[in-house]
Amino acid sequence: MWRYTLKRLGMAVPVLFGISIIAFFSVRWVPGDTITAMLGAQYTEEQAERLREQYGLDQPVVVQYGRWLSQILRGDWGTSVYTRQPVIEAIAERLPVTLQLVAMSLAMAIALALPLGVWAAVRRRGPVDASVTVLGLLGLSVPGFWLGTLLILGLSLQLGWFPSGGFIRWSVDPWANLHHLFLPALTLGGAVAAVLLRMTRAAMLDVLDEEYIDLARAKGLSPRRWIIRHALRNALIPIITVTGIQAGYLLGGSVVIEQIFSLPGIGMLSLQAINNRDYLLLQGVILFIGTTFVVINLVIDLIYTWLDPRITY
Amino acid sequence: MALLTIDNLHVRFRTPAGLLHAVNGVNLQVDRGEIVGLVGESGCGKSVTARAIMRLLPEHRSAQVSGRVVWRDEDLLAKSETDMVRLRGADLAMIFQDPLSALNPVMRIGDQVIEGPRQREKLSRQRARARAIEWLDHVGIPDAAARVDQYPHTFSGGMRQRVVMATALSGSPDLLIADEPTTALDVTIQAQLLERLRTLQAETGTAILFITHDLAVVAQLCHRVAVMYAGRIVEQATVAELFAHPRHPYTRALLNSTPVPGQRERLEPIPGAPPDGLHPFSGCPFADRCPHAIPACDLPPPLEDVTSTHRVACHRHEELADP
Repeated sequence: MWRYTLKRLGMAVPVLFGISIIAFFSVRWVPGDTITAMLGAQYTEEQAERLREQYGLDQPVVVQYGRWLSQILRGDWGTSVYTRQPVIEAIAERLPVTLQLVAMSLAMAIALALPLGVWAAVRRRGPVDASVTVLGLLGLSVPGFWLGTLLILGLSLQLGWFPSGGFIRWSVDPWANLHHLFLPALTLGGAVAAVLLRMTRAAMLDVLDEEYIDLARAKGLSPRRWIIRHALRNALIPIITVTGIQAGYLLGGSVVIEQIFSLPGIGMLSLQAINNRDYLLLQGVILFIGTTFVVINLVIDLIYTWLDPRITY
Repeated sequence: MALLTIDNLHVRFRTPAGLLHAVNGVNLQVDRGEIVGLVGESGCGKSVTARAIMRLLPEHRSAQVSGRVVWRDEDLLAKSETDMVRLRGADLAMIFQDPLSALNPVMRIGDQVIEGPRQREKLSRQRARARAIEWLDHVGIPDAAARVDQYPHTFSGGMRQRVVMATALSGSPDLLIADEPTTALDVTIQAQLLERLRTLQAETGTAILFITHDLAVVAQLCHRVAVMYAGRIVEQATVAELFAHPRHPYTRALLNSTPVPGQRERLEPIPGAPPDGLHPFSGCPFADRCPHAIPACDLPPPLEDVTSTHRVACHRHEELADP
């Protein structure tokens, strides 16, 4: 398995290389550049040229890319031209917020989707199954920004149950921290819950048709036992795959949600970076999210071997 | 004394095409320690009957089950799922046709074998493992102690069916329902498995309801046999009687379409196809394919006693009897 892990990490190198190229060149497609964003409306061409020269932005893009890449390979993610903060420091500062948001969304989605999906499948074509189908479709079709706005309007502005935005660190006040993140996590997790719900139901239905479920029941196992130990245990493989993919999408989805609920996470950082044409920061954030995606996928593949003895690497 | 008495069992399924009549008034009895064969072609309702006894049909969804399935003195069809959980495994057990899909692929075989007793008896881990090894050894898994912790995919089909057998027998049931357990296996493996099953049956005294489409298997294993056609029992007798003096035209046709070693006679396939169950009828279900059908066959034939151990449902069974 260690050999497999190493092999997979090796395979990640070309992927990350591709991501670095896309990150680097896509940010430069946006009109304007770091310097004009920094100088604001009033500047002279000479000033701008001087600054571009200073930061190496007058060089051909390929040269600039080469410089950035060799920097990254030496572990130096650079310093934001705009805020003068090292990129790695900016990410580290914002990361806990996003990680907690994503973790809470996932936890809420799983806590909701798994039991409901299992219940719907076991009582196939019953009333629970019908409601689950409607709920799943609804969750998939409602856009996050709309759901978020609606929740703020209803639960925080009208009823005052939750704050409408902002972030308080866990170390400062754990209760306030959870209280502030509840609505954003619910908004972000809603769509994921819908996907997981449908996946869980479908995977369970597949497994329930297998003969080993009949054998498990014929042995006289209690429903709890055959549903969890035989059915769910086998349905878990496709469910975990989808959960992993969703975890990746949550990182992307948090950009919008963090904006709506004014959370100082990676998503908000990347929006600021776009607005400021903060190339180095933005490249760093994109590369970081890409790396996270690759790692999540690897972890999921390794979980398979633990879930299914037929899979060996 | 009758262990299991099936009394006028009907099973219907709601399908998009309409109500499917799968089992139409089956009457059958299994005594303590007896091996009864239930024979018939695919789709005649054998497996559905078996699952109805175990209450494994999707009753809350599409299956409608009526009649009585009397286990000792109690009607199983009136039992709650909780009661059935208590009976399954310990009183009635069942094994299935496809050994490749009958075992949970992500669970060690030892755990699967002893899972049922473990739930009922609260066995310790070591005790359970030892019992699992014993049972694997009983059903003829070589080197059981080493294989107990392995997963099903490392076993061959025949070995997996043995594991399934151990799974069902480990609960010491009084009745084992075996739904075509050897159909998916090749002939030599099938013979070994039947031999093992017969030995275990003699040791434990478990009654067996053995479902198959293979008359040769019935001859080898069973004491009594019931022939099923279109959801009904058309003939039942001791194995010796049925093979020597078959009365029902369907039974005869079935025997004629089975090869006999040494004989070079042409096999006679049965013309036509059985009724599809979607279009209920009142008469003899075999009349359409029967060379001896007469107008009276439009009325349902009663199951009549030929001898005290031989019953047949045919209007003309007396005329058609061998001289």
